[in-house]
Amino acid sequence: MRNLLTDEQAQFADAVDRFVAREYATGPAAPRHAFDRARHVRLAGLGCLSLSVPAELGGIGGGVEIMLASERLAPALIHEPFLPVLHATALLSGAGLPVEVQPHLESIMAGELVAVVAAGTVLPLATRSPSGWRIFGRVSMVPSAADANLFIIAARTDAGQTALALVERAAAGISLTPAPRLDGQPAAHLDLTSVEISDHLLLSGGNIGALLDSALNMLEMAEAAAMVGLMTAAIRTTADYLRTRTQFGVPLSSFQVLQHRLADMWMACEEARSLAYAAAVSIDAGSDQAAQAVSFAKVRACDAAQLVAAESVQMHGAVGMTDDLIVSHWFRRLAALRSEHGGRRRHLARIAA
Amino acid sequence: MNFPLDDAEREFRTRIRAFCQQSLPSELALKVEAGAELGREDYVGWQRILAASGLLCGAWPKAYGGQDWSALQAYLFDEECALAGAPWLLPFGVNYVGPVLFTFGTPEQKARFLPGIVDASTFWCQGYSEPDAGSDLASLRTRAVRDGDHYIVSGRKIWTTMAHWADRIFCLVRTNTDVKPQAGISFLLIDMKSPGVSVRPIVTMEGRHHLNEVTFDEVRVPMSDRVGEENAGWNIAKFLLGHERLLVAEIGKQKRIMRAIRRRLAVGGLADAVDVRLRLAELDVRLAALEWTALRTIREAGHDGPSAASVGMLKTRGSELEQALTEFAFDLLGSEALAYDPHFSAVTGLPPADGVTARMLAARATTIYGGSNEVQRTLIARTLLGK
Repeated sequence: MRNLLTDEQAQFADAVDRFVAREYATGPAAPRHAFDRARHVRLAGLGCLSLSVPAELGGIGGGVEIMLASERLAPALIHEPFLPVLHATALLSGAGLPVEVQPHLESIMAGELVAVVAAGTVLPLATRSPSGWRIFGRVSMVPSAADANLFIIAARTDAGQTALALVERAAAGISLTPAPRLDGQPAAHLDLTSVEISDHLLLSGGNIGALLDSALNMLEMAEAAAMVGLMTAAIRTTADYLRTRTQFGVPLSSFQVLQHRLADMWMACEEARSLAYAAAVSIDAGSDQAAQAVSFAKVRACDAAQLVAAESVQMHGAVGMTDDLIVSHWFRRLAALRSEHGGRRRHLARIAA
Repeated sequence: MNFPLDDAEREFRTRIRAFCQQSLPSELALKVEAGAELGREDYVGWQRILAASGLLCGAWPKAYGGQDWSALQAYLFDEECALAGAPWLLPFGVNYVGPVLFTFGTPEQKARFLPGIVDASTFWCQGYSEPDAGSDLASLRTRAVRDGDHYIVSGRKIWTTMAHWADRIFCLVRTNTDVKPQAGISFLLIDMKSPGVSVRPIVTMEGRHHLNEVTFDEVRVPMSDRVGEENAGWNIAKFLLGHERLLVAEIGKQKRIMRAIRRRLAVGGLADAVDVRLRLAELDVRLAALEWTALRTIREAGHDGPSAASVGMLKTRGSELEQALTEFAFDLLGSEALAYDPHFSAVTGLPPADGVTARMLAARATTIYGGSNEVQRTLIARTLLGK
């Protein structure tokens, strides 16, 4: 991968590697991270929260940079909302952003404000009120909702239009219910009861649907890259285990069957890496094929993840099943990423269409 | 596509089915069907219900309180119970240490321990694997040193299912370090309440606690609690391992999982999707192949029991099918899979998605325990290559 990167990109990748090594406990034990606001600000200091924002809005946007950061942060199973903020800033960077919102964007990129996207399958309803809009509804499983200062909520106006409502955490009528996730990532159900926002904080118009699609695309490319990072770590840890674990007087690595299966894991991961790169480059080029490229990357990542996750647990034997060791946590994170946004089925259908 | 059974076998199956319908508590079946977490009373309660009707140890010889069931009857019994939604019938007493006792035990040991198994009053667990002795079980190191008419036992057993609920543990221990590993192993029955026994919980990938690590710190065990001769334990272990592997095809459980998949599809949006229908058909074929292979294995078994290769195959294919079924059910959940609470409560109606996820995660262990599938394949290859 090195020779495909510019010097700046390679340096950025190294900086993220050093950040992870410094900030998060690594090693075979399962991590017990929690969101740390100061650490989130340090993550911002690397530029990691500015990656889906174009330069003209103050960001250092780049598909390849997103891929590099996402890949390296994923295995640490961090609770700082790197992916949710990436998604939020991608949306906020879209065309038609009111001038009032742009200072928010700077604070978000600096890590001072956390913004997350609340976009479920059933959209909350926004009706006109004397001061602007009133919102009712529930969005399930909003990532990092409890750590967020600002919600970007996909809503439906009473005129039937899709809209984005920018709602502050402190607004009256908001309540959060913790929602335990398969992968232990923080999430909560967001209930909105007569939440009032000013008129300028509801963005509607024909392009909102397209904006939601392209922001989701960027998130899914980052998720594909995260899956590659998780698989890479799982393969490395499995190889270490095979080298060190002995039974019948020999290391497990001496069994040819396991050598071949390790090779199969690596090949699957590398293919996923290639298509994640293709999607990153496609997004950078502003290609109209970017959505397809993301679908290709997601499908390959899902298939590879199923193999690599299963094999990494199997080859660790019983210890792979324990909650104490990180391997099972990677399995669960990969299973969750495979389930997000309609999974491989939705992407295969998009490719086949 | 029904496997040919004679009238007596069909009548037996009908009888077991009726018994389950009548006697399996519906709240328990609901929990099992939903994949919810079960407690000690769930498992023991069912064993007591079976014991009261003489069905718990049906496969045992009549002389020891059993009904001399044939292998096929035992198979039909397991399948009908699973289909009815009965919890896993804990094998540690009924299928493992019980047969060991009536095959290798002294009259005194049989009198002391068999009744507690037959009436489900003694909860047994199995102390075999150690942190450094998994597939290579013979390399075990838990040491038992003679001290008068006792052994002093020190060491660690791991992956001990339900040790935290158990009254007694049967253990393979090392009584001789000067001979080749298999020749220095003994089989001990240890009281879990003995001073020096401690249990540490191990939580597994689905977020539940059923496995443990058991530490023995100079535990005194009477020599009268050793089964068989000193240093002759490995033969007992092999006898028991043969029993362990026969149970793991679990056809009834696979059928129950397929039924749950179809039930969930009937209310979801994917029932008519072509890829889903084709995949279901593929899984139907695999299940049928496993079922007929299991029944054929039983029918073909000679006086010494089924061939090692057949038993290995049933374990291998059964575990892989369980993973394929639970993975398929998980995939069908889509983003419903993201919310997960392993301690969810079962409710009537469509079971929560959490149960599907719990089963998928827990099924990752099936290809590892009971002799990993890698070991099974080596065993099969050895029989083919005449090694």
